[in-house]
Amino acid sequence: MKNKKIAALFVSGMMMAAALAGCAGSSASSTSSTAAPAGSAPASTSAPSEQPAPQDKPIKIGVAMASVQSTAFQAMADALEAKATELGAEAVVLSAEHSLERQIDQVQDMITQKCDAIIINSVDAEGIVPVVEEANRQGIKILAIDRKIAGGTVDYAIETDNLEAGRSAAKFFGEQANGEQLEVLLLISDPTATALRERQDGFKQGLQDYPNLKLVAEPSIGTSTEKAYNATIDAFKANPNIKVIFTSGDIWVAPIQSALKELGKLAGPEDAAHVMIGSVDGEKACLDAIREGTQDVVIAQLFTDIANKCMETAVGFAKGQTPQTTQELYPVIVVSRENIDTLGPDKLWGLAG
Amino acid sequence: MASFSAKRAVVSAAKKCSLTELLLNYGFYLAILGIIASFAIQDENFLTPGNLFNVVTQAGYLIVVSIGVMLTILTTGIDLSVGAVLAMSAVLGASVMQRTQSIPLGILVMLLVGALCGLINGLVTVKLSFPPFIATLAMMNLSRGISLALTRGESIGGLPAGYRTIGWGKMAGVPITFVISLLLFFVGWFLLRCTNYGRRLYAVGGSRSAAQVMGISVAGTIVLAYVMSGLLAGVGGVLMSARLSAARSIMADNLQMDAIAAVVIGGTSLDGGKGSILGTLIGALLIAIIRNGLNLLGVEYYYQIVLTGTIILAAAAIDSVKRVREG
Repeated sequence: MKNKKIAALFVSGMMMAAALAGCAGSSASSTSSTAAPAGSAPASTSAPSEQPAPQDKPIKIGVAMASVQSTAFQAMADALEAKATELGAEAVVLSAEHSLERQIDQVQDMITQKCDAIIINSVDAEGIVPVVEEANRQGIKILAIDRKIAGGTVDYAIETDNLEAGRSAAKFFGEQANGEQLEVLLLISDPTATALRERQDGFKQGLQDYPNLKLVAEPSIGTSTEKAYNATIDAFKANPNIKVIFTSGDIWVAPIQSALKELGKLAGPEDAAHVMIGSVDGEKACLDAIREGTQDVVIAQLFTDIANKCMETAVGFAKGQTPQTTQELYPVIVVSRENIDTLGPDKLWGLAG
Repeated sequence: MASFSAKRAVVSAAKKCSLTELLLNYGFYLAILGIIASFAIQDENFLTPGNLFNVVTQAGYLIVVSIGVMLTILTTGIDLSVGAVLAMSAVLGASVMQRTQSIPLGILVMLLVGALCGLINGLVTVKLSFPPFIATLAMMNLSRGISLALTRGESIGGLPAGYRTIGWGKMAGVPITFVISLLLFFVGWFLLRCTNYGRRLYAVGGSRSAAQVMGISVAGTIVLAYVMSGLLAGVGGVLMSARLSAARSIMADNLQMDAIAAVVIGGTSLDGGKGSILGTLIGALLIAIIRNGLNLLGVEYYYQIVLTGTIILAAAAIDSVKRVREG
């Protein structure tokens, strides 16, 4: 009796497993935008704003994300999928969750699926090269989004103009300073991430236009929020009159604010003792901070726009079109108290979702 | 006497033909075939030679590492450190390879580091009488920590151009990674089936006290199993770093779970002393096939983990039921 019960249990377990495989498969087909490929009619579920090109099979675009765990990545992935649906194409979105070996397998499987183009948000710019070359050999177009790919033939690359992001921040502070002499603290993060390094370099370049802004400290914080906190405290010990703090990523703003609070320097924007804070990205917490006056400027990356542009180019490739430029540096938006209320979720990914 | 054993024979014959027995022995494989068939139906690209070659390449390092873990499980132990040891051996070997631009030297370092970690695992388990779970867990944290500290999250690249061939090249149309993993499978098969060591390994796993009485060096047998597991993790490090053209400290972050899954799915008993290496090979291939099939269907990574987990549960349940029935 007991054995029969156990037998029944695991048979149902196996059926559940099989059902899960089936269900997961069909739910994937419904989150992508067309019916299952084998043995069924070509795309009929989408409502395209333009007719798909006269081909037998629907356009299939692979999207290999580095991660979908943060709101930024999620916004990018969602926008890519939505744009694909709008253009009558099918998007296959897989996330590697920062594992290079997973991403290589995923891109390889997209090649197997004969995707017309593959959009890669690379986990590692160099490690992804062999599989990019494999795609090149099969005549599949490769697009790089937000992160670089360091080899093979990349048919189109789009990312934020990170140098400009840094320069815009410096310009904002320069204009706010209005000729006044101000001391500046720059937190240097993760030297291996080119995006972050470019923002820091751009910031320093931008400062050169404002000789009244003096860079007094450039501590390294790696990627650690704890180090950001400690570095801020230490910087103020040496330079108690710092009035401008810039960091290349939103995640380091909260520890900076904590440090200022600890030092008793967290003063409101109308207060003369106010210390200006600026960062790059555009996540919700920082946008809220702008409204509350605890942060002064956010250089927002336009992930939704970037995703739209990238998917349009990918679908264009499938239709035999070529983009105007193969390397696109997308502009940023300088968000401050003055314009935050005029900007909506269609522009600011931090407000979406 | 005769009628009693005749009765038992009839009863056991009837047992073998009962539905439960059939389901126990073959139900699992039928269900797996069902899953694979559903992949084949839903995606026309699944059963193509190109895809199947991809799958066996993607399974390469998993096959190799699973064989190592199987050896430790056969001794009623376990090796949780394989993923971390793979990463550390790859990181150290790649550093040497980058500096000397010598592929053989880099590979040697990876294998030696793996074997050394395995030796430490084995000695700690046997000499200090640590439970293998704890000993290898400690090694896992230690080696992951060392890798992180050495690389600080950076990837070690700049390896000689030819190194990639191990991960991406083909020999007579067959991926080199697969050739290597198949070779090691045959070596393992030979070791377990045809050598004295293989017999000793099963004996130690079956009953440690009986093995001791038989004069087998239990300690030596166990330590060697862990050394081999570490060495195979080192081989995994070679295969993976050749595929990534780099070594990163977060490589193989969950590999031990997949390896244990492959071993369990393959029918090896977690109690030790029982299991076939062919089963382990099939288990590893199965996990790779399911990953691949779900990728082709566009199913996100998270569901893949759920499915693999369900399959492990089912396989372990069957194993447990079988053991209960055998009394």
